[in-house]
Amino acid sequence: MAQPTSVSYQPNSSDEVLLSGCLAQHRLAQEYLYRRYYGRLMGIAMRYCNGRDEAEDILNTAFVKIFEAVGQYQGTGALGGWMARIVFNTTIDFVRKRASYRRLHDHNTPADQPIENPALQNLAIEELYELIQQVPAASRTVFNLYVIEGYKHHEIATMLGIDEGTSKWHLSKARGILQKLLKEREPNPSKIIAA
Amino acid sequence: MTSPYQPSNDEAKLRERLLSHEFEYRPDAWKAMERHLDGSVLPDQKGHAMPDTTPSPRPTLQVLSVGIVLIVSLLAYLYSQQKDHTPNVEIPHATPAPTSPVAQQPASNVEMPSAATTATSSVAQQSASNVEIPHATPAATSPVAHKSAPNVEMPHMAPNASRTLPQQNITASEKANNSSTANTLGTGLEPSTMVRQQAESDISTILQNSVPSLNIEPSPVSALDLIDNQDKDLNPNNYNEENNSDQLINTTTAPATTTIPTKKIIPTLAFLPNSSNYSVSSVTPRDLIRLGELQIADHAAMPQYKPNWGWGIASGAQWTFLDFDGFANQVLIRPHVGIFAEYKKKAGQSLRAELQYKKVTGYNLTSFKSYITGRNLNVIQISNFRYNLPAIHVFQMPITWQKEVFRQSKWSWIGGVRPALIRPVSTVSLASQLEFFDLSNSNDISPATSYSSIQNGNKGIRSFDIGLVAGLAYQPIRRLAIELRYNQGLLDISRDDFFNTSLDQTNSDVQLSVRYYFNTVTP
Repeated sequence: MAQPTSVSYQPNSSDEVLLSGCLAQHRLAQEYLYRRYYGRLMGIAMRYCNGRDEAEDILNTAFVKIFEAVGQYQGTGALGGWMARIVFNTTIDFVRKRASYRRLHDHNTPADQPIENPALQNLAIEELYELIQQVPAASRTVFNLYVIEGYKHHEIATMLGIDEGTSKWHLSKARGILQKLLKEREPNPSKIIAA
Repeated sequence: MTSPYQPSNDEAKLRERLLSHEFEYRPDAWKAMERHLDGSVLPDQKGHAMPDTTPSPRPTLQVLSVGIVLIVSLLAYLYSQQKDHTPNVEIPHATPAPTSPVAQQPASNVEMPSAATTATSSVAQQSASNVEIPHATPAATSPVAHKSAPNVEMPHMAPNASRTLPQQNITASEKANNSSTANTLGTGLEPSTMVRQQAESDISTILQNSVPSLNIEPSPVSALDLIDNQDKDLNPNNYNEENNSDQLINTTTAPATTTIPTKKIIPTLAFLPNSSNYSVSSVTPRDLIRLGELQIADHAAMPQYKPNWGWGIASGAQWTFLDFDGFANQVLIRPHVGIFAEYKKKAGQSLRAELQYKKVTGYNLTSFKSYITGRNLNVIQISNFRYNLPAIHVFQMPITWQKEVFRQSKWSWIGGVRPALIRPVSTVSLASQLEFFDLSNSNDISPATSYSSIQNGNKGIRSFDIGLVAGLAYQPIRRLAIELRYNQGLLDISRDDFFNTSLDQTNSDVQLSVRYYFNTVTP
């Protein structure tokens, strides 16, 4: 495959062109690919981290792996999905080292109570991330894996190295915390009337 | 990856919003990414306990650490230089000697104080031979002075009247000055005989009329020499026999230049003031006697005191390894201070005990723990706590054995043990509100930790540590030493994996210290 020159890389170049440039470790091609998928992949890291700086650091670490392993991409699936998998794995590696899980409280959790609050729909996307980041890291991770990513408890347990019951407990805990936070954000009718 | 769990409508919408959201690109994001690509920021691949939360070493503390080493070294060196090279005698010319017993002795022992005043003139001595003149009186120095005062010209006399002395030049004008000196010392004393008074008056009148002004050039004066001459000068017979300035004054036929035989002259501090306006009278005989006395004392053999113990202070910088496996990435530079005592057992060997303090910052260990804090029938109360450990205080007590690399060497080996007390700077905070769980279906909860134990501030960190010390010391001067040593902690201070770290956190560091001895052992 002929090595494309720098002038052949444009912000609107196709993924294949940019991938070939990344394979040649061309910095401009890497930058365009990074810019293109930054917003989508940043969301993955943001859901598991405490802030944007931390999430960006994880994202950059994941992109280093992407640029190093770009030759392993075979083009069978979507490039975005392949990159999202690497970012997700990097993020999970990070939170697995950091978060502390209760291992000894292997008890039956109370019945799952999904979040039912209309205020959830009224929040801006930034407020949603802020809300999730207030949940302790361990419970937040389980909540994201279960509710957002759609994993099962035994998959989460294997992924994080914890018991299945612990996973359930953290999911319940995260939901409880989110419910309370949402209630705190609800407008208080008495205050409105008083005003 | 389909979950059997059917989320609520709100959760489904939450999922949809989160997954479909794309963050806005931040312009400086690529710059940070380039730093990753350039290798200045390495991705974490080693699996440290807290890989991404350890703050980078603050440059201010690093500068402070190195600065302490440099400043302490400089101050200690300057102080030691001052101690080692300060002259043994330091007496300003204009400062009288208030406590010199020799200097005060004349005032008390003079039997005829006024006679001492008149004895400054050799003419007076010749005319009044019955005068008793104690050797130790201040007047005894005045004849000495007329030999030691330098280069005084007598313009009223013949050109050849002045004389030059190779070591101690003196002319008649100096004698006049010495007369005034002696008069100053003798103020208030009564004369013993009328003959002496008359002779003194005559001589003083002659000198004052003949020497209108006296300018004495600075010149070294040997106080010991002056004192040696006292006996001879006080004897009127000696004045007749030797070169006597009085003869020159009274007889202008004296030889133009007279050479006084060179005597034993020991360099002293008795330098006359370096000013042409200074007269020789400003240096009193008491000062000269005192200087001579001190000089003699310096030459005396002093008893040697050889202490076999010493003590001092030590300070410097340390390179701390937060965990032994993370040598490359987790090294912090911090200062340390301490005191030490040293005992010499044999020549070239000593035993030293130190008390050293250091604060190791840079830790950012965090742990979230949930504990059962209450139970009522089948309902339990669970509280979530957040533990954070940013730093530890360490009080170390190294006991080391020091031995010279080879005999009379400035280099020494160091080895020993280092017990330490560790006090964590930990914070415990309630991470969330209380939670209640119904155990009606299951009551098999067996929390490992009770509520009371979570209030222990030392949780997760060992309070006692033991380690080994090895290093090398260099002692360029007697009171100062520079030491480089390695301390290896033997225990994992983060016990129980409380902070979810499986790596050993050891109290290990490399220290570069400067030791200053207030009291040194005799080498």
